[in-house]
Amino acid sequence: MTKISDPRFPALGYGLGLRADHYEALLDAHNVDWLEAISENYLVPGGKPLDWLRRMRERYPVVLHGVSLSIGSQDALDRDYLSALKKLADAIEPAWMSDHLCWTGAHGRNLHDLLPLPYTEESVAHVSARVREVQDVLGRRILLENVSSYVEFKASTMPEWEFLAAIAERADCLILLDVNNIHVSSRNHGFDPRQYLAGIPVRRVQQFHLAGHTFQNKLVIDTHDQPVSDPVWDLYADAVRRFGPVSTMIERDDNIPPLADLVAELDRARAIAEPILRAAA
Amino acid sequence: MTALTRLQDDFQRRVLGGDVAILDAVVGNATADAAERVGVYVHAYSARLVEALENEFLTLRFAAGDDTALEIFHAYVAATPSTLRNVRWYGKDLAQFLRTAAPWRDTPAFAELAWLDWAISVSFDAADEECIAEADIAAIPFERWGEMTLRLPRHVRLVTSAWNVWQVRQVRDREQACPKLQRLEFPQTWIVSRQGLEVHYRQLEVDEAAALDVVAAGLPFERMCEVLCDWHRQEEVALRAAGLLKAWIGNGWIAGVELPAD
Repeated sequence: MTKISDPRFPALGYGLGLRADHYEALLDAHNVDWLEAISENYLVPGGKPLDWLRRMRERYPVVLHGVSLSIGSQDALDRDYLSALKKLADAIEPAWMSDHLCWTGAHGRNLHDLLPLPYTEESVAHVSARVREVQDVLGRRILLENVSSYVEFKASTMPEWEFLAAIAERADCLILLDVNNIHVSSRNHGFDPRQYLAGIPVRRVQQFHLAGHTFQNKLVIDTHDQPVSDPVWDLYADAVRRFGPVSTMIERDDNIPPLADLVAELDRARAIAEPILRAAA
Repeated sequence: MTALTRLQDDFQRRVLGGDVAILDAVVGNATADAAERVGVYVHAYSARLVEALENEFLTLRFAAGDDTALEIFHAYVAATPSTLRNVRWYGKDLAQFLRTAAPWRDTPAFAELAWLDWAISVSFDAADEECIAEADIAAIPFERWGEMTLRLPRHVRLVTSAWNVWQVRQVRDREQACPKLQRLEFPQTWIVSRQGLEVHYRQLEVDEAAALDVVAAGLPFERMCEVLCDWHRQEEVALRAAGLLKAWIGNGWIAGVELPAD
């Protein structure tokens, strides 16, 4: 694939996930710099979803965020899916494209979940090779997102942050750092989230995710149905201090509030990040 | 088999309800043991698929009630592992499942409700297609009309029901109380189509439904006229066929017209 000397795309500011509940309101929204669209929601033949995506693209920079690449699966990469994704990207011209560092199924089955991998050299080699293949097909560098997890495997030989960093370097891809997922996994597995941040190479981080979570049956679950929590805001401030002006986006997938509530959360992200960035300038 | 392959096989078997071999590979601690941790994914699998079905099959939920609908969706999930990349399409076989699986097959209206919901859903995001104009038909020599075949756009769906499922749908749309499911005296055919970006549906006259069935089957216009003879006198058929064709074109229900090669 094409080598680019500076791997990061220009930062977009503060954005939101594109959700059908907010289509109308987003036409007149202020203080939303960009939108992240779930790729699969628009991998449909036509009709209203694609029409809305095109209208949003006329007004906002848009990035495409996938949930079913299954980059860590032992199954072969799905060429039909990649072809459809490329066609969508060619039509929408997203600022960038991302998916998750996970697997979603094996032997042709799909579990529709973002399943964690063992942090091993075997996994690093497997995923890195596939990311390169995906980037060749799409003709662009992709971002991989750290997922929240509820299990760790005994087979792991390195911490998650080393695993993520190794893949990003070896595959020459970028990172979508989900700050909430770091918090969730740190609570579930008992690691220091600041050590996680310190282990991620600055020049690979293209985007931040922020989201809410809930506590259920002993574990913290990444539910995206709550406002961003205070510990996650604190961790976000640390992430901004380390990684600088990284495009920040708030995810909300359930219990979706009026757009104004999410814009207010975005304003809080600005209020946290901008003074840190000014002080560092 | 690599270590990664074995781990994924074991994990997937557990999520799909199988053996617990994966638990030996998972770290458990004072926060939660291995079974509790893997259990999060086991629960999420069915919850996510059931939620997708709940969002898709609105009329079925309305008529069956939320408790029965939930039973149906869980039974479908248990019987139908997903092989689809996009959960959007997961419900495509629900109607067929309800036609054949006990005890739901004893309530045939459930399968019809699922089929109705799926037709509306498929029409919603079907491909955008240009439709023909009357001028496209006028350009075909009249003596060759009998040979022409018409093509329906992909957003057009014909749904024939023996039960009052469309009445249920209309009542649901008006946010009124659900009527009792009843078998109709005669089956009804409704057409689901998209006008612009909005999905519409309406009942078809019985002769119009038969004529559209001919079109959907890819048969020529002369066959459509033969079918119309079941309802109209010979001398009236051409007028009725031309009238239907004009109306269909006006509704945006005809995406193409073809003549066989000479």
